[in-house]
Amino acid sequence: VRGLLLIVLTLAASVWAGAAHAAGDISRIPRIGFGTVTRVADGGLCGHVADAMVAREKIKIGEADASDAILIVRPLKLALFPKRISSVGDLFKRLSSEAPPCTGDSPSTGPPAAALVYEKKPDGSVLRVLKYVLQGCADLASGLFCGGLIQAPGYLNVEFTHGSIRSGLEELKRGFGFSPQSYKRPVLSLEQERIFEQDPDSPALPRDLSVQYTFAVEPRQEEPWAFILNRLPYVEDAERAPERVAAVDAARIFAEDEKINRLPRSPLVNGAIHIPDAQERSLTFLKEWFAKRGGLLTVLKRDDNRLLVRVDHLRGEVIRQEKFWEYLNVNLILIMDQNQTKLYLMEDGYYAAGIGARVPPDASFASMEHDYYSNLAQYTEALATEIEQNLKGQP
Amino acid sequence: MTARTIQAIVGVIFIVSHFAVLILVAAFYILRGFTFEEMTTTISIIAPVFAGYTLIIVRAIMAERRDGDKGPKVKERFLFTFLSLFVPVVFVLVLVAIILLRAYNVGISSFEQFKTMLAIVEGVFAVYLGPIVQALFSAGKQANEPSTPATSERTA
Repeated sequence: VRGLLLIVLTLAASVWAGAAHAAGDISRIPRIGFGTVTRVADGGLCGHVADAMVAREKIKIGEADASDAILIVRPLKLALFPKRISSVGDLFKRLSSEAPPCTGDSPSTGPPAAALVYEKKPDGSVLRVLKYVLQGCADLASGLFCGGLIQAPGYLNVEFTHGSIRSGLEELKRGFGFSPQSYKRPVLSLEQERIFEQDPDSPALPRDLSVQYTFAVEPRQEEPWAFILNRLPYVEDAERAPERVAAVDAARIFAEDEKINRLPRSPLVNGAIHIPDAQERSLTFLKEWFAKRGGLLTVLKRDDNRLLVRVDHLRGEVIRQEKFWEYLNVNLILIMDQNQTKLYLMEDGYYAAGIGARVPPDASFASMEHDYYSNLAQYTEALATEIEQNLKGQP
Repeated sequence: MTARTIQAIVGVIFIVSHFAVLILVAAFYILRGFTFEEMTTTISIIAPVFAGYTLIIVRAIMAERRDGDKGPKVKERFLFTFLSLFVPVVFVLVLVAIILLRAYNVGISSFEQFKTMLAIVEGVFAVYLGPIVQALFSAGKQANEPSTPATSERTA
């Protein structure tokens, strides 16, 4: 009987381990963020990647007319798929050519495989909100895996659409308070460098000049910010910045990076509403909402599109089953786009134990994302819905 | 006060406070004065120190359970009596005070500070408590135990 029990336990353990392994890892591929998409993917690796992306976010598959966005995973000539395309029909026309086999390796001939997501806009056009080249992805027996360079926590690389560098930089500064830390571009001649310094959008510069600006964001908020910035029409591509190779003590730096990279990302909730003066109204709502719960709201940062507030003195608000002290950093981003206001809500929550009325010092607080991530994600979702409802309900 | 009385009082102080402090920490966890990790860490710091003292006390009590009150009822000197009672009481009070301060978030800004304070208090008091517990509870044991070979050689 003991032997039989041992065999059963061993089998159960191996099945569990196999199932856990077979789930694969596509965490490097950004999230789609739509409820319904139209899936355009070939078989093989591309099909598996598309299925995994859809399954991860529990997205429904629908026809082109009924969906919010188009998900394309196949070998593509990326130059044929700019940021904005005039219509869904035009997008499908570009896809009509015969696609080569889909592999994760760089093919010697033909274009590489990539995942693209185009959002359908109210004016009928489509806007590319996700671009991920599948280089480094492999369909292994143990599951789907996408690898790549180690990513630097707290940094994003942003490339602007052609002719929008200057205006894009201004928009990011005015709208979100972002200033570039550095930029990376190909080597130019002395004359071209002079022109670039005066006007980076000058027609005298090469048309295919690619300039990547690096912006600093809060660690663990890289993916949410890339998600938001990729939805801006003047941003060609926003993605996490790879870590620079450090020869001295590289293991320590990379180990620390990986520790932060493995932490859950800040929960992000998005919605679309049409209301003028949304930021001021949202702030008033948040003040009332948290005041009722004993919270003390402080505005930390306010730009045209972004509101960063800290809410102190909360108790058992997010983690309801416990009665810990809590504080929240709430990032509310409101972007006007084609007569709609897009709402994004990002929250970082912290908790600390303590009896009595004395609020613990900041050093006592620990991030909720280790032990109470689902509570924080649910609370973010609920708060975003409340803000949306409140804004819709107001005259 | 006789040695027996001091022994009894110090033994009771240590054994009762050993459990009382652990119960206090658990109670504060229930009242959310500590998180689960903080509670377990606190217990894992406090319990072994108390256990070190209470083990000697419990062994002595067990060894002397049949002896009754056979020993001579000699009154101990005031300084010995004072030291034997004062230091354990202060030790327990300081431990309880640190736990209370942490649970109520007064003066201790992080759990790391709390752990450091516990370690310092335990280290400082060990200098006094070690000899006191040894003097009160190991005297009979030493007398009963056969002398070690090394001691015998030296005596010879």
